[in-house]
Amino acid sequence: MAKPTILLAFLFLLLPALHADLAPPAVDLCSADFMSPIEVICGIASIAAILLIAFGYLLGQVTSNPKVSVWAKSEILQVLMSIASLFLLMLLVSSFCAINMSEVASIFDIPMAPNSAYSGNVYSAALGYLTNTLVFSHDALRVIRYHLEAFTVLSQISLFSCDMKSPSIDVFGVFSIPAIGWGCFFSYSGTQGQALGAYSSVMGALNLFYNSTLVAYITTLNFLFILMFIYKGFVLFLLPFAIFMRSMPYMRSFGSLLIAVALSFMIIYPLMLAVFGMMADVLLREPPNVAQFMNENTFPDNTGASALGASTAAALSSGAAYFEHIYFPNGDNVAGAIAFAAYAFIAGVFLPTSALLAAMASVNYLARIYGEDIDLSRILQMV
Amino acid sequence: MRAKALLAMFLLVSASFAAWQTTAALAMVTSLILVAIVFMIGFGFGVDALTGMAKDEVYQLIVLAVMVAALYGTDSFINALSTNTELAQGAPNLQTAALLSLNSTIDSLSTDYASVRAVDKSAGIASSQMLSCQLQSIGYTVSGCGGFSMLAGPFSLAGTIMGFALGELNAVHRLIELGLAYALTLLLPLGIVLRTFRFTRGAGGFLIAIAVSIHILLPAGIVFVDMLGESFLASSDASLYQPKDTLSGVSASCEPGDTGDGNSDAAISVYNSLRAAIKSYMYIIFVKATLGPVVAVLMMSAGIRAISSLAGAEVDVSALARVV
Repeated sequence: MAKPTILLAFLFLLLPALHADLAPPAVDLCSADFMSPIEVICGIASIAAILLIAFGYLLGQVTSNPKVSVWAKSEILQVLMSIASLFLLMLLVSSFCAINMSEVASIFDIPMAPNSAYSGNVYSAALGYLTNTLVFSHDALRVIRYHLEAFTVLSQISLFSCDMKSPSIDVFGVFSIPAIGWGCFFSYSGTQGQALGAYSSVMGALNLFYNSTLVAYITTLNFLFILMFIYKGFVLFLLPFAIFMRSMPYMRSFGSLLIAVALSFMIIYPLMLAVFGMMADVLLREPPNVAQFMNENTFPDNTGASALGASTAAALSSGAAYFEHIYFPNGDNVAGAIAFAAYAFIAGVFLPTSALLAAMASVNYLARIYGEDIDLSRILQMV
Repeated sequence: MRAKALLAMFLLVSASFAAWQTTAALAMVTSLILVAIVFMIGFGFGVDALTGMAKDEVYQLIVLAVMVAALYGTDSFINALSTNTELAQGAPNLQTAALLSLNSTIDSLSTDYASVRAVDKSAGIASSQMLSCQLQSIGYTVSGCGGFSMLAGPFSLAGTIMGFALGELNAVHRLIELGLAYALTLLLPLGIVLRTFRFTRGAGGFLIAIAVSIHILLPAGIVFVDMLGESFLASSDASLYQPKDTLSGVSASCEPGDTGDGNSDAAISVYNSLRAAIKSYMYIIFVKATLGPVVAVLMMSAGIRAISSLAGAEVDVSALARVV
């Protein structure tokens, strides 16, 4: 009887720990303060779990039910495993904060400027990769948008040619009236039409790639949001909750999944992105002759007119070709815009998706370490 | 005794390699030390689960050592395969051969696209023309060139298909460039290093799979489709499909006041030119610029799945395959 009494006293001694003050999460992942609240909350969760297990053991002893006592003993090991996971995470996070990616690059003989966006610790390098990919995708969007705007404006330019040489008119095959040739002198006679055509073949392709680049841009933004969410205290919720849930009856697989998710997204996902950042020299290389189309302040469809509304001499002499020249002084670069969109897709969709897949694979693997086999195929379909 | 020999063997691994192999060996030794600590804790506290896990990890380390040795040997094999004269087709290696092929296809497709755009422009101008004749606001408007407007749909479709093919070529080109620059120097060694540790094993296996697939399977897909295509073009059945820029001289012109058959005949003539030209563009657009990249990406995604599974990481690549 003495043993259960001591346990009961121990339980009551632990209760005040549940009222510990929780500090808000620090912003910087690598600051000394970031892990402190996680440690506190995980500690509380561990204590709560231990309390519950101890209570179960007590109940088993009081009711002489060996099943409950055995359950309590096995659960203690699981709590220890969860706490070990916390220490592992702390160790890995502090290691990732200490690793400099430019030094990693030098191991693999990859040139990287020491002050580049990818040269900090693993977490800042991952952030640098997604931020620069976002800029890259946006640049691709700007180039395609410029072309789309230009071709839309150019296709709307209509031309009226006064009828100075209209064809002869055949009257019932009997005689023909010669060309009138008076055009606009007396009225409004002539030929009207699009001066530069409708650009059907270009608009279709550019619209397709505008949409795909928009998808790349939004996907990158989504991956960046996930990364920021991870950095701003993702584990703060998952890890303590997981430690507690793993000790609950029937909830172990859920708890294991949460620990696996916390570890994978804190370790694997940023690591993969930081590695892709090391390839930025090739990955984020723009196609040639596209920089001139990134000027979003140029809306030259009215630059041919003076303040009084009169056309300039250049506009008068060049006609519709004048506007074409304003938009594309050195010719358009549709092939370059399409290539840019393709590169943005690889950098903004293909590789970040690979990073997420690697994180998911890791979740599966880690969950297996904790003794649970979790089917994530449904979740992967969302990618 | 056997454990000591094994430990000595692992410590000697680092002396056997250079560059990234040293890093891999260092990672293996670190992992071995961690495994030893886990084993000691398990043994000391009598936790069978920990000792079992430690034993399993030693087995994994042996598998990894074999894998490193195999990859070290495979590096030479991969290089030999890459520089095989049949596969590389005169280029220094397989990857360069694929890049040269892609560059040539991009050039051909860009030229063809420019021709289609030129005819599209002339057809667009022609189809929009209307003739007005008025005197004192009384008159008529004739749209005698309406027949040309039927060409807008086919041109839009043709442009979309050609643009899409151009995009595919560029995407695969970029992936092969990445493979050539980083697969063997960064992704493969880093994958081996990550695979050493239990918690990063999934990611390590995935990186190894990506490295091998991008470096070998992706360019191989391009080169294989090239080889098949060239065999097809050399056959007697392929005379109609020989790639030619047959639209370069075609232009649409219309007389808007002509209400007879002249304009519709001209529009039908342009349409017939387009119809006749399709076969001469099919090889470049559908075989080289569409089938080639699709086969290459499929080979790559299948390779990632198979190799990552072999390396101990089950990765569902259906999300990547959807890129095709």
